[in-house]
Amino acid sequence: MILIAAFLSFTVFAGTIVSASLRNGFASLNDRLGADIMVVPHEAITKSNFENMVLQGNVGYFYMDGKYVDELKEVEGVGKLSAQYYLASVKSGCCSMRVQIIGFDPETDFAIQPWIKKANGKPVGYMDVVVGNDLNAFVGDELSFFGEKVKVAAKLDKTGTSYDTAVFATGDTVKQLIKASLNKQLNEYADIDAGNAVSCVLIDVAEGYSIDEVVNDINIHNKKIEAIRASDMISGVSESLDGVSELVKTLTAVIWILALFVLIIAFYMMTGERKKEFAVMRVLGASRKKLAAIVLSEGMFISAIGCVTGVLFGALVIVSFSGAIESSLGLPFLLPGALDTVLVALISSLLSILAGAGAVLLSAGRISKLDTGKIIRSGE
Amino acid sequence: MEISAKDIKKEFIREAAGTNVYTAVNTCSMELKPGSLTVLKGRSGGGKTTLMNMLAGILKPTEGQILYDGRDIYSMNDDELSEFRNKKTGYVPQGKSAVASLTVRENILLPCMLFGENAEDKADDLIKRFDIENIKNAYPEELSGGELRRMSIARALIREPEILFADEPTGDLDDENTELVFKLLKEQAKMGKTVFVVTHEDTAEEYADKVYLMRGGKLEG
Ligand SMILES: Nc1ncnc2c1ncn2[C@@H]1O[C@H](COP(=O)(O)OP(=O)(O)OP(=O)(O)O)[C@@H](O)[C@H]1O
Ligand SMILES: [Mg+2]
Repeated sequence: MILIAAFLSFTVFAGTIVSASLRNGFASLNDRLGADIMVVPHEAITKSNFENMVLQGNVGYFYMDGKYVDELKEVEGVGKLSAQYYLASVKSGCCSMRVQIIGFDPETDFAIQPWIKKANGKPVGYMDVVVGNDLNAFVGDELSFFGEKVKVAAKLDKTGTSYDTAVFATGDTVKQLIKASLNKQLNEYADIDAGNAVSCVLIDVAEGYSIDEVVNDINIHNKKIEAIRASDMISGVSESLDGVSELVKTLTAVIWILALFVLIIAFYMMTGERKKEFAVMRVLGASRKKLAAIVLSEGMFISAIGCVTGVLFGALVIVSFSGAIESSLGLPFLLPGALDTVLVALISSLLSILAGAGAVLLSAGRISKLDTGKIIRSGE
Repeated sequence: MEISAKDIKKEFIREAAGTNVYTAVNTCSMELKPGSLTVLKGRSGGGKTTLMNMLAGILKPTEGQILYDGRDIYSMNDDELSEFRNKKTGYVPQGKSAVASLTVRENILLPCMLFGENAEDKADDLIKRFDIENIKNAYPEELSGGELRRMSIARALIREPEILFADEPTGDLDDENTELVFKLLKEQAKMGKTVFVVTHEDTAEEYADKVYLMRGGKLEG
């Protein structure tokens, strides 16, 4: 009985947390893009698969001439604009895999620094890096990329996106690292000018202009670069997110209803088996009301214990398997904050207790109508 | 307290047979006096338990009245009648009647617990008197029929009721214990209580002040 009640609250809790985490992860991804338009060299689309880089945390880099930054500034409708510099590390001390290094322009950046400010507060200095939450590096550590030593100045909060495995630094720092990678012949693009190369330009469209107009304008005039709408990039994610989230919700509802039925039947059987006991209580002076109250409080006690167990177990499972869930769904997954979790826990407990109450109420009603005279007669 | 049954009758609608009305107790009258032990005997299925339940305020007669010192108990509402049963009557049901999730001691205290009252001392007293001290913390499933029976008699006495109903209280007991139970019931009657016992035991007549016989729903005696 307790188990069924536990199962009920577990389902509601786990289901809600999973779909909340997905939505959370999506919001985080949206934030992470941080711009309306991203302009990358044309080959980034085909060769390096820019989309996978952003969405799945694949490592990659590509460059275009810095002159495009100035050209893009002149495009009508461009509001904020900032260049980014990408590089992929070879295996380094902190990390068992290659990590994405992302450089931003401290003066113009509007997409990354807000995140870093949350974690650090101070501006990031030359040869300082900020590391993503999943990396095994901590503030004060010294890391080495292509022989260049950098210091970890801050660590970001968990975002549930590819940011969690990336390293951030100012453009100057990354340019220095690119130079080093060229010197060591560890960069695919051997003939670039590190001082003048950029990887990506983030653009926020000025007020009064449509994103589509600006994207088209850029793509028509420049064959070598490609402007991408950020929302296009995540629309695929958004769709599968809706699908999964819908599935989780439906599953939760179905399981909940099933468990409710089982609970009703279980309570019904339990009270049915104890008919004689209840008849004895009637004889000993329990009124119909009192008998119903006894059945009710007993059932509520059971379902309350079940609910708490279920929520605790659900929390345990989700926290310990969030990684597995994330990778099996292939979608950004970010657990809600403590407050939200408590709220969800409360709501799912309430829902299960309510379900328990409903089930118990049915049995209590039946028991209070018990034919005492008939049942007390029987020997067994 | 004096109980008088006035022209009571009980009919049941037999569910299996649809509207077939079955008369379990034919119209009859009887009086139970304080300080006396009344015995009701009869064949199985004769309607003894049905009659006793009507007397005890558990089963409303189809016709007639049950008066306790002149008051019709079935004119009370369920709350009143339930409390009345709890305070004024003790009832030893036929067969097993223990609440499985409670220990022997808790079962004995159950009538008090239903009203949020306590009577630990009285319970311990009864436990001693019925010689079930060694099992007072055991659960019913671990007990023998005789032990359960003694527990259920003790439970009927915990409220020190003025009236005592017992339905075959010696059903599972050996001769020695049977005698002990009847002595005890007689003792209660001597203390001024109204005692009503349904039994098969012939020895019961030795203790009885009045004996009734029930045959096919008809009361004789
Ligand atoms: N609620 C009921 N519905 C239908 N028939 C009933 C009901 N209660 C009792 N009866 C019938 O009334 C008759 C008398 O039953 P009762 O239990 O009073 O007999 P009894 O004399 O106590 O028998 P026993 O010695 O076996 O306990 C039986 O035939 C029984 O089937
Ligand atoms: Mg009987």
